[in-house]
Amino acid sequence: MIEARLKKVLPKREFLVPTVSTFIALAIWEMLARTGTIGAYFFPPPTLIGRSLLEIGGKGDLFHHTLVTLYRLFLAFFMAALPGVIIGLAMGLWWTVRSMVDPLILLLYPIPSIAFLPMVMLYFGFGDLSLLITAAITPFFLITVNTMAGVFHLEKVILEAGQNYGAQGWRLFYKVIFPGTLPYIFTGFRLGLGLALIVVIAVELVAAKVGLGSMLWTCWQIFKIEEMYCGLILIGLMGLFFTYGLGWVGDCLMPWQKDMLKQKGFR
Amino acid sequence: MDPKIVMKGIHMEYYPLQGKLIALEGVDLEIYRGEFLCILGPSGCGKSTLLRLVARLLKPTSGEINILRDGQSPFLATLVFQEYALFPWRSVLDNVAFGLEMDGQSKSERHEVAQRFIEKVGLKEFSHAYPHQLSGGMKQRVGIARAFASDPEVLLMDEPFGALDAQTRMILQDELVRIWEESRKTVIYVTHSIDESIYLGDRIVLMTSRPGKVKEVFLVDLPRPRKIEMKGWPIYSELSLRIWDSLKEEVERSSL
Repeated sequence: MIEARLKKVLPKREFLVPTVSTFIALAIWEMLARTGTIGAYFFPPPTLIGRSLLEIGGKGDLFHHTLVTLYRLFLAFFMAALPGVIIGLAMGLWWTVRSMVDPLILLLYPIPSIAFLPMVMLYFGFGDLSLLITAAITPFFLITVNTMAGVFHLEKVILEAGQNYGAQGWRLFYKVIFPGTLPYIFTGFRLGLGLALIVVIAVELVAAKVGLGSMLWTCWQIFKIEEMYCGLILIGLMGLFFTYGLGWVGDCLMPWQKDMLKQKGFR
Repeated sequence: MDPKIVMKGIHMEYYPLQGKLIALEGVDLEIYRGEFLCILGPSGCGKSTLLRLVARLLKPTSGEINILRDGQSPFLATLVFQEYALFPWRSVLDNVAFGLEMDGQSKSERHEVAQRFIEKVGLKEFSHAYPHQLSGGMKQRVGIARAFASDPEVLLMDEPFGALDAQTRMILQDELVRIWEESRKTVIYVTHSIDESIYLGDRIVLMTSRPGKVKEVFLVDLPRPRKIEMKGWPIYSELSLRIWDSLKEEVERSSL
């Protein structure tokens, strides 16, 4: 009885566990900084960072930086996702495309995205476009490879069923192959989005005047340590928020996937 | 007896990584209109290949298969798969209606037909469920409903109950026959169970081990509707023994 009532009052375990663990980590940090175990000058306690987040958040600068990073993240992700899905599907479906593109991907994939920046800037100049293209490169590979894997993992009988019940050509593609590949495409999206954020921040650190990455750099140069931490926190939150958000969109689009994980014993 | 499906000199060769594999070597077979024909054979004898040839999922290396049309159904032959092969992203209703959707029927039309067949297989309450929420037996009920709802000229079944437990299998066998008797469509039913082939079939075609061809044809001289008591009848056990004698040779040969 009491347990049942507690269950109603307390938030769900899925939210409770990560929230509590985060608070514990923050509390330890706070304690270490306050007691002087770690230098409070370089590692200001979370409460102080929180206060400065509220202070500078009100001034609008931080908001502007965040907005610019957000917009870059979305554009870079989109520039990676659309061609990634199309080329990945083509590679999965046609042997010729696969054998042409596969060596290129294997060759370029291990190169860190940021290393492409100088080359991209030669062609596209110092503007935002160069940053976006650079940030889109590795996410594009990830999404391509995952999409291709999705086509490979389609069950043969599912394809046979599609054909046997009258789906051919284009319709076989968008009624059977595409929905069947969707779980893998979304895995690619999740990985790609996380990586896009990493590279966007990296290119901002090196080659941008606005954005959270460039703000971090400026803060370091003029020794605004608390504001630097604000930037870091915002970047982390952004990653967290979008990865969960994309997962949620995936669950809505593919309800069968979520339940299948549950049946296998994953939560 | 007038034929519904005529197979003449079916040869089927595969080219795996190296060499050549002859799956079928000269299959000649006539399947009669409205007949429930069981194909029995050792594993790897090409019975599933034969079914996929009739379904036009594969093309024979040589020989031909003709299905004589009776109506205007857009579907010549629909398959029920051992692995169910339901679309996981579609509800039961949309799985059953898939063929009709491909045929261009409107949503209300196809859902009405699909709903009717879903009720026939006893899944009325589950029409909006997704395949992963169903048990194996229920999934195959959906598979059967999908095959019948498309109103094909011929129904093809590839060991449909092979993955189910023995009890569920017995229930589904009876249900399948009950639904089939309403339409009396021509059925080709592939199985490796002698018992199942006698209980369900009008005739049993026994195939040789690879390369597969027709070894023997048995007539099942039991009245319909089939009843579970018939399994105790002398003709039932005699036929069962005769088939096993012949099948045993092939199984031994293929497992050497």
